[in-house]
Amino acid sequence: MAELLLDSNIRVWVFLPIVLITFLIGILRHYVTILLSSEKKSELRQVSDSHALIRSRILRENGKYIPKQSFLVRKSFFNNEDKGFFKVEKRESQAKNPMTDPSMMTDMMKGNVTNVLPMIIIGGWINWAFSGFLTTKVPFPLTFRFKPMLQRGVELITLDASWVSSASWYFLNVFGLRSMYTLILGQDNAADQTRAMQDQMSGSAMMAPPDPMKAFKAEWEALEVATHDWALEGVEEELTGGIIQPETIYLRSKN
Amino acid sequence: MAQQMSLSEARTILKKFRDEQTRDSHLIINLWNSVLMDNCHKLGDELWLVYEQVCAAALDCQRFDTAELCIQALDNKFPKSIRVRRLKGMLYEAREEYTDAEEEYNSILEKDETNMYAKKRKIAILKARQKISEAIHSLNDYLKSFMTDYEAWNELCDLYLSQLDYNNAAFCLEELIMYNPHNHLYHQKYAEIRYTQGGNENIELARTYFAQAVKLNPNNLRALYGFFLSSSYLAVSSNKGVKDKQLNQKYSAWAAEQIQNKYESQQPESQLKETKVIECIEKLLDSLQAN
Amino acid sequence: MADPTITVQAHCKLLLHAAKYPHAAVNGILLAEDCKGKESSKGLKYVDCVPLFHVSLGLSPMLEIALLQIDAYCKGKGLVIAGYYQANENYNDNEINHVASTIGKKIKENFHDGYLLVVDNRKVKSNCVSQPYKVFTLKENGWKEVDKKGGNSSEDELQKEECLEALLMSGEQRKLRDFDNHLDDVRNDWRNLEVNDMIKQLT
Repeated sequence: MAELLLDSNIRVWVFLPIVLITFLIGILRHYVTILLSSEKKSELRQVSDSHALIRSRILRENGKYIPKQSFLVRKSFFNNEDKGFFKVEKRESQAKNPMTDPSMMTDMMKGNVTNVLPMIIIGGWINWAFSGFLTTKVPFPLTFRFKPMLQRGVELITLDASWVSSASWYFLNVFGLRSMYTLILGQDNAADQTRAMQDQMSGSAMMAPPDPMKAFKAEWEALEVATHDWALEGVEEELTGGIIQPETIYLRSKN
Repeated sequence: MAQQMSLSEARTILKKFRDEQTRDSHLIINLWNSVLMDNCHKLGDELWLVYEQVCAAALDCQRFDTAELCIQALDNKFPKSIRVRRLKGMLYEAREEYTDAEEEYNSILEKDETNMYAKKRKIAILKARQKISEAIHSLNDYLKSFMTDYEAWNELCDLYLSQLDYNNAAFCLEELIMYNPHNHLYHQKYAEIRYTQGGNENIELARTYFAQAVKLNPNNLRALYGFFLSSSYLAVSSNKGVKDKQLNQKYSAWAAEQIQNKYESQQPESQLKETKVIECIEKLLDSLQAN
Repeated sequence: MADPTITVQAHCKLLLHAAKYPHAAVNGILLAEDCKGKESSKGLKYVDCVPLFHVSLGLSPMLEIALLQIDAYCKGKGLVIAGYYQANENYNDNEINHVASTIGKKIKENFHDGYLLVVDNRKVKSNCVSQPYKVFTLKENGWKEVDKKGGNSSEDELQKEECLEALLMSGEQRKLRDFDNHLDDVRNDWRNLEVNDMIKQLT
């Protein structure tokens, strides 16, 4: 395992420029996203459905703090066979098929343009511009399999896999500079690519459930099995009986 | 006082008010006039939030000139913004030009039918015009679509209370309790509503919720008093068994002790003597024992 | 039944209470000298008031506690709970609502000659010349307004106006403590001795 000493020029002309480039591209991406972002138009139906689901969930979780009768009234409101909210409300299942929904298409395209495309282009350019030499060594040992991936342009069989080329350094920066962006641009910035990728994967479960009927059914089942175990049972005894004494309550002096 | 305050102090106070939703409009206007108005350019991006805050405070204090100034500045920066239009609507409301205000809110809703603020302002207009039953009706409709808007549930509770509709007010408060089950104030208010309704069952429920409020916050004097009152009532209530009565007597004695101790430890001597709180409570307790 | 007279102290304190919470409904109790057994030819005179609440006026537990405490206090001072005042939340609303009616009736049960005052919010300001509240009494078919026919001398009226103006200008309403403030922190004194002294100084 050879201890290689890298030319200090590499540090000045490769290492730092890549950091700078990644950082500036990120900031640029943030502002471009803001410019290009379209106003998301929410529909009343979707919003009220999500509210209803949240209320049902809260009823399941915190229903034990209200009297039993009140809990049953609300449970019946949602789950009653004939008049319950989850039974009566019918929604047509909206096809969230990206191919057919035009607004989804444009959104996806915009997402791709601002996130994926620059990454590919810049990655390729860096690979081309800074090819042929090692940039840095990662502090942990890697296996042989990583070599072709991380050492593009440097075909040395005997070289330790920990040494990486400039392209890998670029990708490391993309992920690493996330916290820097938060510091400078504030939370919720569009320069954060990893979050964009996460969002695509989770599939906008935030505001509108993709299929309300399924969500209603799931919630109906969950509420149906929920029971009411009154949390306030015996609280007076607990308070005055001395089982749990909060500090500020005066304790009767022992005679 | 406000004159000597520096810009950074004023900024901090305003930020604190924004975070805690405090409504001290006089102070905000004073700060604006003395410190902030001349130093607008130093506020950076915070300026727009400050404009919004000062506008609302100006409407509270009927300073229409200041409010218009703020709205103008915001409009120049964010033309066609719904948030600015809401402020315009509120300006109409403050001037009691309710028809114009309603038009403004309706146009906001045409553009964005899910805008909760515009809907709620329309209900506020009904309340300002003293059309309470219509306001209650509209608010109920609103809550059918936005079931987890707790500000709205709170307002509905107060509206029902003003109409002495305790059952529905209790229903609204139950929503609030579920939303935030560790907030002692909700438990206490719920207990007060149940107590006001009267009847043994309700007062038992009241006693339980007062106890819960005390458990969550032992410094809540209202809850202690409420616990004392409800257990005293139940202790003398005719259709309770002996064991229940004894239990309630124990509770009221405990509550009385807590209250007395609180007064003795915190109130100055003279005030205590004059207002005779301790004697008052002891008298009540004695009358319980006698029963 | 002669019309009630209201002293400067009671008048100013109740209006200060309304001024302190312009966005909320407020209510309070009016105290009169206990004239039981004495000749009550002079008519009812409200000498002081105790501001009660500015939150949830319609709930009874705290009202019960307040009345008990004030009653105990009154007995020691030779006073009696003899009236009730309320200022409504809505600026233009100066009518009796359910809450005022219920509480007023309760007070009247204990003190037969009790009156109900409803503050006119539009007149809670420093240079108001006309009477800022309406006085009601309970008759068989409900609450009826009492026409004040020179109940107070115009000198009294002038004194009240001037005193109130001075107090509002100096922001004295911020120092007023009602029963709600007392329940938040027991050190707050609902007797408002400081405000009483201030009023005495001004008259």
